[in-house]
Amino acid sequence: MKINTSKINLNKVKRFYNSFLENGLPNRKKEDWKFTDLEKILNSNFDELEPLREKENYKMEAFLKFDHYYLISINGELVNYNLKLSDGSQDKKSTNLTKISSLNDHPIYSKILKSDDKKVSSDNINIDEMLSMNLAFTDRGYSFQIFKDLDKPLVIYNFFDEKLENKLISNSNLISISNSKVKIIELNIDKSKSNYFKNTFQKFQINESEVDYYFVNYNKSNGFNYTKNIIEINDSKSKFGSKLKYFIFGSGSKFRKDDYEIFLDGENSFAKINSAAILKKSQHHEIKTKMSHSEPNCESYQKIKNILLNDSKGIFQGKVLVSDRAQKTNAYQLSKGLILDDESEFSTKPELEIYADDVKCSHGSTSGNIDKDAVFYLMTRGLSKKEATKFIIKGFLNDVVSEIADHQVRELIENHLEENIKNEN
Amino acid sequence: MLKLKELKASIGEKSIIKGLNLEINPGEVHAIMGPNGSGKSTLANVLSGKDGYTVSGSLKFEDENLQEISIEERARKGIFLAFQYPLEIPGVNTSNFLKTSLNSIRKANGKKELDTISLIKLIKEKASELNIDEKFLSRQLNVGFSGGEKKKNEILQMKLLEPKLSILDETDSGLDIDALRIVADGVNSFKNKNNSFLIITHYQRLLDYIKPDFIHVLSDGKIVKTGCSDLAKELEKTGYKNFN
Ligand SMILES: Nc1ncnc2c1ncn2[C@@H]1O[C@H](COP(=O)(O)OP(=O)(O)OP(=O)(O)O)[C@@H](O)[C@H]1O
Ligand SMILES: [Mg+2]
Repeated sequence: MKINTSKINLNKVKRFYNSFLENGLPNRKKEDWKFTDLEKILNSNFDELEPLREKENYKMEAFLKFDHYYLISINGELVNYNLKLSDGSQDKKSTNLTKISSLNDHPIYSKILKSDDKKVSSDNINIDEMLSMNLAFTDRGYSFQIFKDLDKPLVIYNFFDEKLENKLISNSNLISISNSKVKIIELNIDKSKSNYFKNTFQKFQINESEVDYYFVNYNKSNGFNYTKNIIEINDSKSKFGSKLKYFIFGSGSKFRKDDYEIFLDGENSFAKINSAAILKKSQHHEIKTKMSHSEPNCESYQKIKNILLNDSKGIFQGKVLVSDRAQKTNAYQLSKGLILDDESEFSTKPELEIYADDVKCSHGSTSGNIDKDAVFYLMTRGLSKKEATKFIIKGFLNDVVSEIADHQVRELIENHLEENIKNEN
Repeated sequence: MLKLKELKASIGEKSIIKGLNLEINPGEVHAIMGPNGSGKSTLANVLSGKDGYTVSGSLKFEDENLQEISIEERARKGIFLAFQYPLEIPGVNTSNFLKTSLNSIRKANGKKELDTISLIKLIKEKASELNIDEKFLSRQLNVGFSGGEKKKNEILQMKLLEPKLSILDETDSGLDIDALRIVADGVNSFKNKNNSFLIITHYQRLLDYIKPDFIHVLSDGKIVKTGCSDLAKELEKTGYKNFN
């Protein structure tokens, strides 16, 4: 596979482009890519990728039925938003309530572009091959800041249209939340008919805030997605600590690798990463996490649940790192795969690296087939095999779904999972 | 209602039921006793349609050939099995499951599906008859239930689904004295001239409460003796040694 750069100007980003050319795409010889040979996967799905340059600006509607703020992007480019608060105040008028902009003022992005370092260390960012590739081609994204509690959820609608065949989307987003309590729902709505590759770099800064974040792949998608998320949870003053609950619902994507580096940099911080997905038809999903505890009294929970069928692959690589300062850490990890046929696979690689002595850490991982006796049991109660299997599948994922506190969001997720269960077996 | 002729069932090379004859008419209560491993649960499984057995002989339920009928169809036609070891189904809400089960059976029998409110009312009513606390209904199906609670939950399902033939596989094992009485009352109040029972048990205690019309001794895959309620008392004294 090659990248067609004939139509783009690489002057400003030459060094990233060169570094990308030098290193190439990551393959399974790299520890971090052991289960996901990106080089091979992209080579077998694309002859050539062309960096997307067209920017669309047609109107797309926010469509969720409940009351919400929204932000809309098309193919990764911010096109519209509404953050009119219920009290009538608007983003621009009220002082620094929110600020939304496209890539141009993305502070981190411009900082990296300016710096000469290989590593922008203060920002926890390490410029690896995927980030070099991202920096070489990024031309879109959004950045927003929230400084005040939101009384309704904020929905980020990411639309992807039909014109993405063999395109490379490179985008960069920054979400910064301070002193607020917010719920954010990120929806990917995909109308693409053929393969494209999206390489996203995303950074979250969470300061003295409580954030519930839900990523939902809203429908079936032909996109191949790699997303690197850097999440910094800081807390300098408050004794309660910041809280992040991050849910990933990726069912329906052909390929995704969601890579999270979470930094618990403030005392008493809390982070939760939960995922539930149904993988089928040769889909390949990897969730990779690195949970870094660097301050005392923090808690982290990770729970990954995959249903697998039709030659699909689910992977969880989860690392927990506890520094010597981070006493009284609680860190838990659990991954489970429920495999419905002989061709599918669930792989996990948990890692603990602990330098403090007063910590509670655990990890567990299981994978197995559906319990035939359980199916029989339900069928003796009049349920068809399909219904019985569905009950068991939903029950298996319920562990994650039941942790969604907001009933509107829970309903959205239940429908999303239902759709993905229904369309198969 | 149920007619078994020369029923044989095996798993792989192992033959378990070795030519069994049994006829159960509407309104009758039959008990099956027999040593561990004699094939009692296997018989119950075969009647419910569980996969994995090679079955031969004739199995008729209301003159239909059971071998041609799937597991869920048998349930819908009125065969119910209270499991010796009810399964735990994580993440599945007990009352949701009961609702789905009841409605799928009603639907198959051409009855109107019940709405949620009537369902809940009905489920609560039956649960209270069995002294089952309502909080069990919002728990995950059988998950973390004690042995006795699981058994009571089976009887709750039986009472809700109103089967024609109820097969109770050691429902009495694991029940305390009071629960045994409640379960037996539950069965007796549900019993009428149209429905029948096949009660698998090791103890005559249950049979003191639910009077069987026939008691069969199953040994090594065959019914080796059939008698009336005195047979249970005799077995209690002498054990199965005369039948081996
Ligand atoms: N899947 C299987 N594979 C091999 N053997 C089996 C299987 N299932 C049952 N058996 C054997 O068949 C025989 C009958 O088992 P079954 O469970 O029907 O006995 P049971 O009469 O119900 O005993 P108990 O009183 O202990 O419940 C036993 O020897 C058992 O080990
Ligand atoms: Mg048994």
